[in-house]
Amino acid sequence: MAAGAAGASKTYSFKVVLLGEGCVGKTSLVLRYCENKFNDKHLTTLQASFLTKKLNIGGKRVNLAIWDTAGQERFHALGPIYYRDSNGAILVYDITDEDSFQKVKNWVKELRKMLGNEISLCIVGNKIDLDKDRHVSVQETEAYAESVGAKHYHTSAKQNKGIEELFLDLCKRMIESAQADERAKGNGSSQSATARRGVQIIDDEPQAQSSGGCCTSG
Amino acid sequence: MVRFCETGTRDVLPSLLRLPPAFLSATSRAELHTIARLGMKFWTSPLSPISDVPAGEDMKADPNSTEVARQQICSIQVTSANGALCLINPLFLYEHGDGWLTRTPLSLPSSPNRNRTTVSLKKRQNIKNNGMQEVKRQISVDSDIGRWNTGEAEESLQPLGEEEDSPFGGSDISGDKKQDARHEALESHHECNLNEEVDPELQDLKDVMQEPLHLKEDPKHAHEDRKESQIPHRASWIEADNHITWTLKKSRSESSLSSCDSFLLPPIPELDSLSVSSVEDEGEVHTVLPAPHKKHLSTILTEKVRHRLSVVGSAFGGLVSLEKRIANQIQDLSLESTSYFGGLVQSFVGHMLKGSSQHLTSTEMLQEVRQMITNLKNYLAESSELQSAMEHADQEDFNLDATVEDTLYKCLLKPLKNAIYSHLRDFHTRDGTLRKLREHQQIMKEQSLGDLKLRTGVPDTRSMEKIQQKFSLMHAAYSPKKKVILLLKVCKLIYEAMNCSRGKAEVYGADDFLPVLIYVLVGSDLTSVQLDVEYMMELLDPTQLQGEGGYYLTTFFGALHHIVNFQSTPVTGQMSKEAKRSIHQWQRRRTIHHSKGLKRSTQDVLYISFQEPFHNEKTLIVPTDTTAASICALCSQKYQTEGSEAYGLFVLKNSELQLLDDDSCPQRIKSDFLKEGEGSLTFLYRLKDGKTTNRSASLSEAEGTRL
Repeated sequence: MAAGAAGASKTYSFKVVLLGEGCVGKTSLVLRYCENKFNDKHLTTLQASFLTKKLNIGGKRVNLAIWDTAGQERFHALGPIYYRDSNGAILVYDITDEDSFQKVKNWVKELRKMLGNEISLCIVGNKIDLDKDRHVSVQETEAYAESVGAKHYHTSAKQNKGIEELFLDLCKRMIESAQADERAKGNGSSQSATARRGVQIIDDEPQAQSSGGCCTSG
Repeated sequence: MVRFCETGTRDVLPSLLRLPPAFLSATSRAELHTIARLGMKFWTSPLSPISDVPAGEDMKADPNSTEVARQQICSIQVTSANGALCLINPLFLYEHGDGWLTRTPLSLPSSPNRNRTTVSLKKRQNIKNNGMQEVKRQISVDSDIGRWNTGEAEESLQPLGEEEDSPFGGSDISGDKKQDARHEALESHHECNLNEEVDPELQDLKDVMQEPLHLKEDPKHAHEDRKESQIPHRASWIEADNHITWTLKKSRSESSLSSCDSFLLPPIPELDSLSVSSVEDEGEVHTVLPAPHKKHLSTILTEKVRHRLSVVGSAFGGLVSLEKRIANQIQDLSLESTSYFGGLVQSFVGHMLKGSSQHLTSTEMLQEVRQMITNLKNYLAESSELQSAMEHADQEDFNLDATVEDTLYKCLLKPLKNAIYSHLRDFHTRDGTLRKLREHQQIMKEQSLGDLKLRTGVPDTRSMEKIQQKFSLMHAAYSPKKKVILLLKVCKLIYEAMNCSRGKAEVYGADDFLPVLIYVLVGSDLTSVQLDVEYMMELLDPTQLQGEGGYYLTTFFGALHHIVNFQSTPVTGQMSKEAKRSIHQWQRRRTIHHSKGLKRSTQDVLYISFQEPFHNEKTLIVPTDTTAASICALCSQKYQTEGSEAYGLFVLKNSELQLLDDDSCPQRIKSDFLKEGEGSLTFLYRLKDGKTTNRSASLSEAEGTRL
């Protein structure tokens, strides 16, 4: 693919989809996370619909591509074309808005149904700076997250709280999942892919964001 | 540049070349180095002479020539007008003198277009014995363009508006007196247009259009050509700072696209820049041109002069020759029907053009084409044919894969594009998509902005015109990559418009972008966009689908999907049938293209939950033929259950819990299920006594039909 010597390390490329009702702060969240990074793509400074971030987690290089989605109900049916091939999903609700949490539940159902357990889910209660107006119970959300195999986080895009942790954690989980896949592949006799998401093995670093998969350095 | 001159090229350059004063005033080597380090940024730096060149200080590039020679032959001067370089070939001047260049356009032959072929023929015979062959080539390409034109006449696009002139006028902002003098000869309406040339966006336009504004096939416009005083420059070097990286990349890819210099000549790019491809590229753009503006189209130069300009730009861009060499080699191969590669290419193209293969869906057809591109690419990577060229591939920093991909677009998609589009149109006329698009477009046009619930500004008339231009170019291009670049430019214009009308810079996400995109699409030629999006989605290198281009292509797909299903979209959480189908299509696409080389397998993976769905889940490696009994044994180990007879393997399929027989094969069940693609499937290792715990009961209830 890319010209260049085979490096010892490999790069994980993950696609993360951002779901949640309009106005829950998806865009601010991801902007806050990526704001220190400006890549050379010509649209980046103008938009926050598609952002990328490079990370190094314990020596493993990770390229994140974060796909924002339109949260309005009328666009709900478009979900699948965005979350297909995703390695992770961040489901954002507004802690002051009960409905937005219901919306998250709908997404969880749909994601589990369409992608099974191959996608790492994060449920995120945003706007904790407005805790006095909280309408969604912490206990309820955390119990729900556990029941569906997701992790729960509290963030404030405004105060930059909990965001780094959220993404770091998600990346670690996606790496684990990718390594499990890789081991499975190593052990398995068959190479044919009934893959539900496009995980690819990448030697060294190809063009940034050129692939949505992952691999293991194991 | 000097090398360019020395190679004795026959390229004729349209205006004086002047060295920027910064070079002349530099007194030390160090100063020159400083300027050199600026690279491309020179043109936007304060050193750039654009604004402060005193007329008359033009420096001849060749200080040794005599005064007479300068006037008659060696008018090679460097001009920095608007940052572009223009070179003039002495041989052209030798034949025609250079009075036309500096004085009045009227001294040119009155009908340059008609004379073009003869002129070039004559010149070529003087210069080179095999010139004849080249001219033949060129003629055949020209007629090819004519065919393209008529073929696409029905798709002909809306008038481009007044800005159309700007790419020409753009070069006039330098203070060159000679140019000023020429201004006076211009008609006043033209001058008006010149004055508004400031918009940097037009640089983009120029960049893409590559001097599209002449219709050489149309003799009735030939006489108007005299009116034009200036040559459009390629703008790819001189875009604003923040575009530089992008631009560089782009001009590289363009150069690889425009790399099929005459096959009859050694593949040295500078040797003959009369690139067939630049003629062809122009042909592409021709289809975009609206008739009403032909009166503005004029030139004092022969066509090939302009063709060459674009290639001159590439030659200076550096790093071109290797790409070109490889591209040329691939193209040569593709023309040799006796070679394996050429045979494949030609028979495939012939086969598609004849329409001999029957495809059930448009997707199938496009995937066949994509598969061919991928196969040919794999073949080239493994075969010996490109070995010599590729030996150097590692030494230079360039993307071989991209070069090969671009060249294959040229070999396959260029000849097939029209046929593919007409098939696509047929398919979607039959399945009713195009009718629905048109109908819903009408309905949605009548919606007010309030109905659309937009939080941001929308493009005004002027931005919409620019967007339509980009769409036109996107439709005209055959390379899916080029199309995506234009699609991104449309997105950029939309974001700018969203911000512009609100007067402040805000960064928008998908919540805001998608509704505006839908608004824009409703005001556009939806049919073309629909076909273009499908063309890109299926024919792009699948690895490209993950980046920014992939994201916005997906968003376009989503917006079109929304329009097609407008009204019928129920406002519930349920997924529409179409949405379900689309996700399966995407899935299929990926598995097709990634099955080779980039493999991974989850086929042998089985997720098993303990007692309840998603509880204490384990990942097991289970080959297809493994029976439920052996999995139970494995599970009892993993979960360390006591009394393993009491446990069994269950499948929970769409809320229906079923104990698996000992000899059934869970992987088979899973793969059968995946083929159906409906509902959900979970494997559970749990007590056989069938008592559903409270938790799993409530979960099942809560999840409805999920489990």
